[in-house]
Amino acid sequence: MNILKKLTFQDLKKNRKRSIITIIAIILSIALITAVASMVSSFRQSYINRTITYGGNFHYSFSGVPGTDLSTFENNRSLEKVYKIHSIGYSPLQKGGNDYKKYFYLIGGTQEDFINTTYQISEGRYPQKDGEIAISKDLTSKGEQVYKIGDVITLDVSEWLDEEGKEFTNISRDDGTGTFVHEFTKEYTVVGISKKMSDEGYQTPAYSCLVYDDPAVLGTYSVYARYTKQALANQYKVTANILGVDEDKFDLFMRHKVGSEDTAVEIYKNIENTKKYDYTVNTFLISAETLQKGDSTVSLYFFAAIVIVVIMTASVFCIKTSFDIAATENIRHYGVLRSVGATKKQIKASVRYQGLMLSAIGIPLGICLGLAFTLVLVQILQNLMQGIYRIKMEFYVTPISIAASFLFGLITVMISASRSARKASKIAPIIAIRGNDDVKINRKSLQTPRIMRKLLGVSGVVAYKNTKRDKKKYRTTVVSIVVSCITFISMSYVFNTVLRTTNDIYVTKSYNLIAFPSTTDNVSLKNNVNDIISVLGEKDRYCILNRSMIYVPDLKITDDYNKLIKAGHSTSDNMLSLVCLDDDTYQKYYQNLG
Amino acid sequence: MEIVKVEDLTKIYGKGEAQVIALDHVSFSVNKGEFLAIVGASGSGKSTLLHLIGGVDKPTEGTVYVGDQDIYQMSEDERAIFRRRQVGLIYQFYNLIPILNVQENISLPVELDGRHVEPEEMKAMLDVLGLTSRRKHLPNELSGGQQQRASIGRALITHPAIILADEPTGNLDSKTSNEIVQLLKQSNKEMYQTIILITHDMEIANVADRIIKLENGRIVEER
Repeated sequence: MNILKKLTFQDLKKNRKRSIITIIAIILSIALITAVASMVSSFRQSYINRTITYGGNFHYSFSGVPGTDLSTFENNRSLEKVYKIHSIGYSPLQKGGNDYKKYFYLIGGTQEDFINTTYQISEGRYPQKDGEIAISKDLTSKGEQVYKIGDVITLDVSEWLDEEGKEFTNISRDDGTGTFVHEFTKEYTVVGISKKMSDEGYQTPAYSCLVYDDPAVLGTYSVYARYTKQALANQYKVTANILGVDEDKFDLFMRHKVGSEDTAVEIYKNIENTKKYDYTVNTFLISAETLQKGDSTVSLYFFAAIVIVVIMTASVFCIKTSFDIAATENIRHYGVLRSVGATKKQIKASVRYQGLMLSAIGIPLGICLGLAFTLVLVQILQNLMQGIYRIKMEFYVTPISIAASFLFGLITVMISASRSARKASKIAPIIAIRGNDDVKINRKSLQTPRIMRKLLGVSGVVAYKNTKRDKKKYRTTVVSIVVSCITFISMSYVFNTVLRTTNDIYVTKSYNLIAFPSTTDNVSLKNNVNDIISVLGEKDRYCILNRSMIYVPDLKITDDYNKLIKAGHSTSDNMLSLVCLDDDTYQKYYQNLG
Repeated sequence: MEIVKVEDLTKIYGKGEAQVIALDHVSFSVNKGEFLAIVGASGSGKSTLLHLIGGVDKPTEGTVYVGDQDIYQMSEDERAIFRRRQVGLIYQFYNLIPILNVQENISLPVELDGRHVEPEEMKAMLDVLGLTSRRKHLPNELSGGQQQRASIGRALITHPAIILADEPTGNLDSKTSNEIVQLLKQSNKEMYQTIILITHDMEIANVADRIIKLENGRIVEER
């Protein structure tokens, strides 16, 4: 260890109290930075997990893939993972269902395939061998599950073909077309109740049920592919190759850079005619995993960057004060060093080394504290995020977020130390030795206003004169207070906004359940409403029969309504919202108004 | 052979009413191996003159040559290196680094130069200074005389061209003062070291080869 490093180390050891206070300031600052960085990574990962849960763990899906084509997907190096769902066939329901849903839709795959394509098991387990089935949770009768685990059912499985003899897969609505071609009859044991996390569609004609895949059975596959990182950067080219369409045309089409409408139609037709399979893009997952302009993840990073800059600025002032105190206390010692030949550079290095040594203790501890803080915060936010955004918050830390915290922390400490280092190096040796640079007084500035003496007495006068000694020193204190206030106000604003949003979502809704009738015909609407009421029972309910906006040319509005318009709670410009209530609801509303 | 040459050296502190002329066009020179004493009353400008020769302060006017170099034509860092290698400074209040032990304080200028003091050389220095048994002690564990001897060791260790001693005995009793003066005289004789010593004690000044007397920032007598 060279003499200056040794000197710095001894100084830190000797002035233990000062060193500990500086370390605490560093720990708190780094903890805040780490907390923000790890909250961002936790939030991002939780968001990705949510997207995977509700939208599947794939970037592109291809439907209508014949079994013979599967190997080309499996051997494609651009694909990191491939999940295959086998469309086995349809079987009529024996019990349960409704006017729209009359069939079982049997899909085959492995547990891994199902998990990654949004099929979850809410009870029991996934089918693990031939003859096992997981029935859809939605297959109910008057709210009760039709099948229970352990039930044995016999299914007549048919292929549903369209007029051209092509297989229907996962059709969205039964419009009475197509023919059923019987495939096989088989006995299945119910081993689980499945739940599709992504929307299956209210009007799909069948309940998806999971069976263990049998490749020997007819039927096409839906292939769900996770692209590699490189492939994702080049996703349109990779997809075009899989689909067997023109790369450039597909690229232009996907990027919406097709030029004129005519070219767009031409390119669209070309792709539609030449593509081997139908495809869908999981845009949510792609945008969650890759940073794209205008994405919420980018906004999140931007917000975090602002918060980190605010924290860093506040921390620099806080830690800098500590280094300034150390530099002032050591001024004589720097003077002696300068007089025996230490260069400015050596003095600067000595102060910076002090920063590095304190960082070596403060930064790791700060990172640990920040992570612990995030862990607690994630637990607290768990319910809130689950309720509002259906995001299950998970504590997730990446090496990058730790490295970023370390780097930002080190930058904060080094910026804090650098001004003190400059100050220490600038001091003339003779002034430091004499110690007469500390007080800069000129007679004029020492004149104290009379009111100060009258109001605060002698102590006030002494304090006032003290502030006049060296304005620069007190400027740091004033700036620190200002930065702290700004930090406090801006953070309060952010948290208030979050709380207000939560209130908007939770408090302004005075109902637990909303049900929409699926008809507009007056007679069936009434029956439909009565059906809903019979299901819900005679509980507190409100019924809005119609809600529409009407235009009133010469609308006269009251002052109170005008206030509502100005506050953004109602519409303006002669538009009136007309709400029709049923008799009961109207009576309740009337009574509530008093 | 001239080792130090001071020409028209002037130092003015403050401005306007508060202006103080600490040195007023002082010129003189010192030969290599000479022991020069500068005497004068408090406020006569002795310490200012010494600090200007050592390059730790800046003159208002005039030049200081050490060897053939004008030290105020150098950059600050060059002057720091010059101080480290060519000047040994001894202060009235020792100015040792309180958190370094005797041995570390003595070797400080050499270490700052990126070199190390050979153990034999250190041993010889500690023997001459009479600090061998105290080499691991911190300054606050030493007497005033011992601290001043450590500071003389720090000044001598680089074998500088000149030793500048600013009232080195001002804080010591007469017996210890004598020991310190003898130590300086010894280095002057044995190592042919040029010494400029400041004192207001004529008895100590008489040990020197030549005496310059300052009054109100001017040389009033030289013998």
